[in-house]
Amino acid sequence: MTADTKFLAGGDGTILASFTSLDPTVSSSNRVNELISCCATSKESLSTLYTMFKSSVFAVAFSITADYHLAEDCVTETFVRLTQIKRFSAAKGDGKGFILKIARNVALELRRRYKRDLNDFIIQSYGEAEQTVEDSIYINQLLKHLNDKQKQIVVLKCCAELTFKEIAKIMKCPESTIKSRYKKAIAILQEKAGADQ
Amino acid sequence: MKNNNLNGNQEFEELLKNKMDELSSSVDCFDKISARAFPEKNADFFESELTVSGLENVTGKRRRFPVLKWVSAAAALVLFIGIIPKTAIVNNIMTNMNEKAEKKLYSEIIEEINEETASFDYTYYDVYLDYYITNDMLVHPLYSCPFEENKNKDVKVRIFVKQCGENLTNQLYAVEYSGEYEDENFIAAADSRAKFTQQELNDIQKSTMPFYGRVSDCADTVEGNFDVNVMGNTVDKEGYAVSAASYSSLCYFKTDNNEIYPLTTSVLYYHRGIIEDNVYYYYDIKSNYLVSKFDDSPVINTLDISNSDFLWENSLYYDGTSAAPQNNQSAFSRVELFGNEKTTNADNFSFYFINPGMTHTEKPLKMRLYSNYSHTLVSNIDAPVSNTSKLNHVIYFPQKLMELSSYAPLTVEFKASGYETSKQFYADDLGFASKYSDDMTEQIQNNISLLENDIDKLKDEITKIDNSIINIHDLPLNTSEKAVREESLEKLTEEKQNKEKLIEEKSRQIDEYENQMTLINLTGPKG
Repeated sequence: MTADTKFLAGGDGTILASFTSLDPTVSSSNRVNELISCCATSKESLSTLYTMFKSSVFAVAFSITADYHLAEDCVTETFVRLTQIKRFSAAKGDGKGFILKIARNVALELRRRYKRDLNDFIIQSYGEAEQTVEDSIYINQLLKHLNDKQKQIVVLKCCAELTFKEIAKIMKCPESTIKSRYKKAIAILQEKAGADQ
Repeated sequence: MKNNNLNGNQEFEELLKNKMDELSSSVDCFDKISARAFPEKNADFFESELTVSGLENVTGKRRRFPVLKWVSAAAALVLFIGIIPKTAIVNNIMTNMNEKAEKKLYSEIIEEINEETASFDYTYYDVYLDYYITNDMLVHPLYSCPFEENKNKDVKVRIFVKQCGENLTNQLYAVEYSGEYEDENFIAAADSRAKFTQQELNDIQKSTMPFYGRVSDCADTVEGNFDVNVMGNTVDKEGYAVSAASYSSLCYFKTDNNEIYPLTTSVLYYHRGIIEDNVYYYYDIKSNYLVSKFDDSPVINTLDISNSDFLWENSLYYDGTSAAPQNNQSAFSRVELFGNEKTTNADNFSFYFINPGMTHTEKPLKMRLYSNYSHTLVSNIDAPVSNTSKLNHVIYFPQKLMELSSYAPLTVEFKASGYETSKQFYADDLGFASKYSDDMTEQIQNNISLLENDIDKLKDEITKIDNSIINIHDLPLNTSEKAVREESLEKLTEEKQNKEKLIEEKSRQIDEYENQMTLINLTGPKG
């Protein structure tokens, strides 16, 4: 809800600020928010959310944990936590950002918990399938020159297709910082790619 | 592994996305999620009241259901509660157990912060923990530091304040952290007792109860508590030269009884000495709200709260132990200042004030006020940290000083870590107690009333035009008169648009007047 602030004057130099309310407008098109609101009770809503955001959540988790199995656990944990949310505002919230924020927090939590097992960056568990192993190694190699934050920003931008503004909200950083970090990350990747070639 | 396709941003983005999509396509955990989110209560294994987790340990070895163990534990507890006399120790243990059960866990606070900041509007600012502990009154007038001292001097606190529209509330969170603000760097977290629901926020925004604000309250208090010595310095009642300032902080305050007030908290603070940098402050605080509005004499109530009341609900370290401070280490000490007001007029006031502004930086700022005439230091004082408090922040200095210096401009130097700037203030920027403000307010109020009358008239005229348009539409269309009617409709529509533009223009003028009045009353007149 938004409000127009109006300043009015009373006697004796009093400053009065009154509020003209604007009717809350729940955007009917904001399906994600509504799905989040009812996913605690509706398996169908949860399933739709899972289909919509599985890839993005996994991408965010993988960029943080660099581990296929941990990222998979993050996906599970993120959607389970989503069903336990009690205070999400369907009228106001940013559904996608909200889910990815949970994913990021869960991934950071799991990484902290399993930090000792993740010391070796390259030798990780990647799942059994050959393709999965190859893809995991490929992505980790691609992102290995970036620091933690750069990795997350690049993945949120490229894989979750978020705007810089949305990323800024998730990472609690100014938008300009996100932009400059992204620019720097891309420059590093291009430079390293050139060196590899 | 080589990346031979990486030639530009676009290609890289696509490449990464494709690979990540490929990788995530093999993830299939919905059944697991579904089983955890929607456990099937009638599943077969539930009938035996045994679950897999209850039966197996990590090695998969079957273990015995510990019925006997639980029965004995329950029996022991019954004996303990029923037979052992209710000594102080027992009572304490029981009380602590209850308290712990009610207390939140650290992870729950963090989760709540994440949820809240994602779903609602919050403003936040960072301060060093040391600074918050010592200068709590400059960080928040009502919420002192919820965390105890840390040996690491680089530890910071991020304070989140929930917003209601453009205004603040007293739903706060604080996170103690080291290095970057990252979950893994968090040390402790705290949440305020007050929590606003969406419904309450909606109700507040629908209500028309305004905030009370009158800078002359503080200016009159300065007149009543301080004097000017022969040297032209501000002195307290004991004759010590002082540097004094005040600020007001507006917020919707929710009490423990769930009453919500549009609260204006004013803080008047000063320290002895003008040159010293490491200072010990004296302050007084009052929190007022309007009971009735739009009267000639508004009724004001005072809410008896202060920074010394610990308004935080929980303050916990990562491991769940209390992070709340054991004792108060604030450099601010409360004295009685409000209540000693002195009403002045344009002929007998002793102090001017200026609003230094600097609302674009939420850094702890040190301010030094110089007279350009004699290049002497007039005041040396710290500014409140938050931008909303800086908006209503004023520094006081003797009127005599301006007289002696022939109203030469003043310079305020602002210093923060890695930041230094200065601003010039001229005679037109100065404010003084009530008289001038009230005269100006009355004049502006008259102008606003005139504009509001004009707008009402214009709205009536628009209604008449609307009626005419409807009447024309209702008339049966005659081919010969069609062109004439179309023309009339066009003219009326144009006339309506012009009047709407006039309303817009007049509303804009009202906004300007109201802003001007806010500045006069809260921060002194602007040139």
